[in-house]
Amino acid sequence: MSVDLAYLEPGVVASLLTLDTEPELLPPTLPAALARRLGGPEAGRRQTLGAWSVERRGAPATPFAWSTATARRALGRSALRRLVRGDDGTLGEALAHVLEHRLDRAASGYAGAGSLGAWLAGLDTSGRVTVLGAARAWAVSMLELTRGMATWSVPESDAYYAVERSRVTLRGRRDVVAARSLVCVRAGRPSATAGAGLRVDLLVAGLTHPTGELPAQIVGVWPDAGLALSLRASVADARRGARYVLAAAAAAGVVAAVA
Amino acid sequence: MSTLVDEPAAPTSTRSPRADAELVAALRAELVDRVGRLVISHPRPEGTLAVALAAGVGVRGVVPIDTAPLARLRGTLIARLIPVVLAGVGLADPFAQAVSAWRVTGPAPALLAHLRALDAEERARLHADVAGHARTLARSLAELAVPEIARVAQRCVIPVVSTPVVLTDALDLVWSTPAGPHLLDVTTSPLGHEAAALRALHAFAWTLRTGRVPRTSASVSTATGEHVTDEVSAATLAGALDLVVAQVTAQLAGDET
Repeated sequence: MSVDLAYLEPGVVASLLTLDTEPELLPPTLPAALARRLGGPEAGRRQTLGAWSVERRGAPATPFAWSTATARRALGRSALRRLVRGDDGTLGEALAHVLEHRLDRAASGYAGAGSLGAWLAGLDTSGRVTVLGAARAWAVSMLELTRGMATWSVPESDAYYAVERSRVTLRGRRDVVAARSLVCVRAGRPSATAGAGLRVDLLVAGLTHPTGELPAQIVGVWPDAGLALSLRASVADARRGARYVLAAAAAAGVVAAVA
Repeated sequence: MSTLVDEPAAPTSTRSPRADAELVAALRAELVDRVGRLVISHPRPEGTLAVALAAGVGVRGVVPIDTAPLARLRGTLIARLIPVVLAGVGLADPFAQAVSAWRVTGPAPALLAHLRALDAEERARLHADVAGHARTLARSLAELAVPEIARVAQRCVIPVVSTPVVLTDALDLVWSTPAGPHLLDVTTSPLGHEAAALRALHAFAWTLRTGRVPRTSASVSTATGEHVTDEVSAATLAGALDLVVAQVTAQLAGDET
């Protein structure tokens, strides 16, 4: 299926969501095929692959470091979950609770040295309010994107799928679930290979569903660019997602060679 | 939804959402058409043509770092203080607080190197500069009643569909009321002749990014404390579109030489 482009405007993401399709199921042979191609005794180093790595054709990621850019989504998403569940009355309260929780975990030793909580605990007040400001901005953008959606929820985390007998974990982005569809939000602007990234998100959603059910649709949103790309999901798209993963794994040297 | 994001009460917009939607659609179509024709008439190597909107009106922040490192540092540090001020944190040591806030945003290595390379004299001058501008910033944001929920440092990276042109812009502050979005540009320079054009360009970029026409676009100078607020209209956006097309034309011509 093709990927359709839409300009962002109030209510546009809700209007893109399809409600009229029957769910398609991932072929039961696909997980084993992935394991065969990515696993085995010669499997290389441990690696997490997702839309980001596929869109960059396996190019190595820069070393991870916490910053406003990397922390805003984690904090903003937790705050949105609290808000949508009705735990807090305002986004400000939700963010304050999320920060407190992260700091508590760091203080009690539950969060490790490289964790978000530990990083936040090491910041002074000016640093912390800057991070919270970025998280708030992210969450407000999400509230704007969900305008017009009848029901929606915020997943607790992205989807992760450990490929059997391999050292590869697949990661699928998901920021909002609505009407059996996934909304994935990205920074910057869509690349020429953004469609490949969406198909990887689709694949991982199917792999992590208990019965292999695919979402009806994946909508990628680039708020900075004012654009959204929507993909009405099919098994053919999930298979293409698997091929992109194999190509990225080969390019990254995760596996010696992928035929 | 306004209660969820702590939005303050404000007058309801008298503008029609349908008229705004039609305006946005027309603006996007004209942008694609005019830039598309320019690209066809100016053949260039493959690849993206990034057009920084602020550069078209000679604004700081888009010039090479070496041009005026102290001014760049001052501007960057004051911008980093905006969320600190909005959160109601007291400015006991604005320079140190700005540096703390800057560090968590992943500062540009070249600019950070300039900060580290300052001698004692330059550092003391910057320290005093930042403190002075920070006081004006705090007073200005209070006078303008910028709410704590305002979004800081919003990027626009807008591809002009079917062309290699990507328009870029950065907005210091954006907040919404029932009347619509409000934009604010904070500058450490006096408000010169370019400030009005920049306000229009910010409104143009935000319109393309969100599909919503901002209600107002404002500038505030932390050098002088002056601030100007423009109501955004169809004429504002049409003027900005002409500026953008002129800038794309100039960059394409530059590519050819």
